[in-house]
Amino acid sequence: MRNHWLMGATALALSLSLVAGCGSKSTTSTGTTTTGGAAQKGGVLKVAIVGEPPTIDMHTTTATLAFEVGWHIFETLYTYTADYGIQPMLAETLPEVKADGKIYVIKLRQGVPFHNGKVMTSDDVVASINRWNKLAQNAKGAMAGLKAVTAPDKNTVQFEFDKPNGTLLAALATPGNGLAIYPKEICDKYPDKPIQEFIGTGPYKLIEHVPDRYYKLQRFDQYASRSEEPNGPGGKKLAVADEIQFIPVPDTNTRLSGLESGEYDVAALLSGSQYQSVKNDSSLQAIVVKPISHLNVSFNMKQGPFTNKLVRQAALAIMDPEPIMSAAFGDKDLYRIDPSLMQKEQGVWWTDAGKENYNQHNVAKAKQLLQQAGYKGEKIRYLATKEYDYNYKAALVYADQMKAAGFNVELVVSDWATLVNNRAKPDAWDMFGTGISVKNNPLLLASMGDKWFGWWSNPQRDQLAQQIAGELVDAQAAKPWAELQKLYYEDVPSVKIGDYFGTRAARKNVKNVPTMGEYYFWNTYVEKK
Amino acid sequence: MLQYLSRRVLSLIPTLFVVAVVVFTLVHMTPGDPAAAMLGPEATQEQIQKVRNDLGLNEPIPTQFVKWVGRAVTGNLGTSIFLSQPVTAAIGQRVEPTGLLTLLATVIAVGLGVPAGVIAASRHNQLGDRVMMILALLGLSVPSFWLGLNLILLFGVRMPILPAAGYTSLAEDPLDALRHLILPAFSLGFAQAGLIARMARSAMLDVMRQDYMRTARAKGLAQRLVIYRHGLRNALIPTLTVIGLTISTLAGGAVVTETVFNLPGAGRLLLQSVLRRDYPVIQGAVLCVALLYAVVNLVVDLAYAWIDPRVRYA
Repeated sequence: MRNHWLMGATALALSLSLVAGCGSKSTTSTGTTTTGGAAQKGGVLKVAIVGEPPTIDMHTTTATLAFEVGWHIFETLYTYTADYGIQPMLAETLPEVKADGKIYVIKLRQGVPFHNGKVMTSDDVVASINRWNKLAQNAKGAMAGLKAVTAPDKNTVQFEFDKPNGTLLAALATPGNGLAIYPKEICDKYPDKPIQEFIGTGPYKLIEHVPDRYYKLQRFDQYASRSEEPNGPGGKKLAVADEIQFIPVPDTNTRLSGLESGEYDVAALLSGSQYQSVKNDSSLQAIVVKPISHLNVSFNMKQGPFTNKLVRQAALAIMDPEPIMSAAFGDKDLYRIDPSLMQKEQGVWWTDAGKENYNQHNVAKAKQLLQQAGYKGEKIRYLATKEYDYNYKAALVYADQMKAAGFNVELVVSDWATLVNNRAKPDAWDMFGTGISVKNNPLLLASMGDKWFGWWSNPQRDQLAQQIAGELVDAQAAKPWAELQKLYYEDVPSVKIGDYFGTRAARKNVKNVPTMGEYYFWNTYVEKK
Repeated sequence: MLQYLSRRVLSLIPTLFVVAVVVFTLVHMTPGDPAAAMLGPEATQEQIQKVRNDLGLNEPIPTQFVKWVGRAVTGNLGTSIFLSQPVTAAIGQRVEPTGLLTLLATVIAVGLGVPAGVIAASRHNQLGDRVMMILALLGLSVPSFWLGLNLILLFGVRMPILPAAGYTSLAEDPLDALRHLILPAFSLGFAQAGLIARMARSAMLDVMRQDYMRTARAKGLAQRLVIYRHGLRNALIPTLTVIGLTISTLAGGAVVTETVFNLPGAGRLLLQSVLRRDYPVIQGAVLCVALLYAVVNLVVDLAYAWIDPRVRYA
C-alpha cells in the first residue's frame, strides 16, 4: 500500500514540475524550436561545438561537452522532459520504491540492442552502475549509503540503501557525468580509465573521431526507440539525419562565419553582440537556450577575511546583480535576475526563500557589517579568468561594487586552468566566480556541497540536506529545500548573482533545434528545398 | 661535406636536450592542472588528486623528467592526457593540414615576395619601387588574423566561393582540401611575402652595384637576362635565409590562422594543449618544432652551396 502511495506521489510530483515559460519566442513546450513537421530522413547535420570534449565517456568527466556528444550514442535509465519532469529511457517505467525509500526496483526495457548487436541486460546495467559509482562525481551524493546493487533477473536491477534516498532518481536522470549504460565487457575492460570503445544503445553510433576535426555519428538502424512523443531529451528519438557531425570550433567568430557561409547547420554559444546580429539576419535563427547555469561567486571559508560571516554578508549586501549581469551577458534576453538557486523552469524546486537578502545593493549596510566584523582593509584576492569573457566582466563590476563598500579587492586574472589550480589551495584566494550548472535536485548543485571550493561547513545545512535526501517526492523535499536556501542567504557561503542563458544559432532551414541548455539533435533535421 | 653533415646532425642532440629541459621545466612550473581540465569544472579536489595519481603527476618533477626523456629517446613522446592517444599520433594527424598550409603559404609568399623585390630593385626609387614597398609594408603590418577574418567575410560569406572554415583531408578530396587552404594560406603568405620582398629588394640592390653586373650590361646582355641570370641568383642567398625562417615559422606556429580558419593543425593542437595543460603534448610538440627549425636551417645551409658554388663546407 505504502509503495503504491509513493508511486502515485512521485507521479504527481513529476506532473507538478511544470515549466514556467521556457525559451525564446520560437520555443515550443517540447524543448525544440519546432515540433514534428514533415521530418525528412536523410542528410548530414553539421554542428559547430565550442571545443573538443576531453572524452565522451560520461562516467569520467563533468564536462558538459562530453555528454552533449555522448548521449547521442549512450543512454541513461531515466531522462527528463522539457519541463524537467523525469521520464524513463532505458528503464521500462518509474522505479518501484520499497522499504520507505531504501529499496528501488527498476524494470528494464526488453530487447534493446547495443551498437554491437548484443541485447542489453541487467548485467550490463549493474556493471555500468558500479563503474559510475566508482568514477562519477555526480554519483557521490545520490549513492551515499548504498548497500548493494543487484540484478534479481536479467531485466531488473535493484538498489538497496541503508537510509531513505530521495536523490537517486534525479541523479539517474542527469546526463552530465551521468549513468550511461555500457556493455558489461566495456566496463570490465576500462574499470578506471576513460573508455576507448564507444558502444551504446543510442540512436546514433560513432563511426569516426578525428580529434579537433569531428565526431562523426551515423544513424543506428536497429535503434529501439521509446514510443512516447518527443519531449525535451525524453520520448521518441527519430534519428532523422543520416549523419551528425560535431565539429569543434573554439573561436566564436569562426562558428558564426561558418554558419553564415553554410559550412555548419547549427552553431553553439555565441557572444551577446553576435546574438544581436543573428537576430537581424533573415537566413538564420537565433535561439536562447535556457536554463543553463547561474553565476556564482564563492568565498573561501577556510582562510582569510571571508571566514567571518559578517564579511560575507557585507559582500552580499553590496551586490547589485543588474549591472554585473548586463556587463557580463549584454542582451537582456540572455540573463535573469532571480534569487532562486534552482531555476524558474524547474517547477516545485523554485523558491524565493531568502529573497530579502538578494539584490540589496545597500552600501550603508555593507559598510556597517564590515565595521562590525572588524575588517581592516585586508587584501581580498578575487580569482577571475578572461578565458570566459563573462567571468572577467562580471568580476570587474562586482569588484568595483565591493570597493565602494570599503573592500580592498584585487583581481587576480589568469587562464581557466590556473584558476582551477589555485581555487584548490585555501591560501591562494579569497573569492572566485564560476557558473553553477542546472541540476535536477538542489543537493546536486556543485556549490551546495562541502567539497566545493569554499568548503562550506554548517551542521544546519547537513541536517536540511539529510531531510531533502530522505524525501522521495520533490514537492515534499521542496519544503526543507526552501529552508536550506534561506540558510544559504544568511550564512552566505557564496553569492548567487543571476541566471544566465546560452545562445545557439541555426540556419533557417534547420528544424526542431533544441532550446534547452543541452544539445539533443536526434530529432533535428535540415529541411530539403 | 659528409663530415660537415654528421657534425651538424650530432649538434642537434645537445640542442634538443636543452629544449627538452627548458620546456619540461616551464610547463611544470606553470600553474594549472591537466587532471582538472579533463574532469571538468565541477570536479572535486579529491577526484582531481586521484587522476593526478593515476597519471603519475604527483611524482617528483625530476623523476617525471627522467621517465619522459627515457621514453622520448626511443621515439615515444608519451600519451596525451586529454586526447588519450599517443603524442606522436596526435602530432602525426595534424602534420597534413599544417604541412600543406606551410607549403601553400610559402609558395604564395615566395611567388609574390621575390618578384615584388626584384621589380622594386630594378625600378629603384621609381613608382614601381614605391608601390611594391607600400604593398610589402602593408603585408608586414596587417595582422594575419585580421586579414583572415576579412577574407572569410568577403569570400566565405558575402561571395561564398571558398569555404569559411574547416578542413578536408587530401585522401578524402584533394581539390576540396586545396579549396579549404586557399584563404588561410593567403592570409599567412601575404605577411611573409612582405618580408621576403623587402629582403629580396635589398639584396638585389647590393648585387646590382657589383662590377660583374656592369660587365654583363656592357657586353650587351638584355636587362632581363642581367637581372634574372646574374642578379637574382646572387641575391638569393640572403633571401633564402628569410625563406627558411618563414618555413619554420609557418610550420611551427600558424596558431592564430589555424584557429581563425578552424584548421586541425599542429599550431592549434599546441595552443589547445597549453590551455588544457596537456603536458606530454606540449613537450612533444615543442620538441618537434625545435627539430623542425634545426632541420630547416640545415637544409638552408646546404642550399647555399647549391646556389653559390663559392660556398664550400668542409
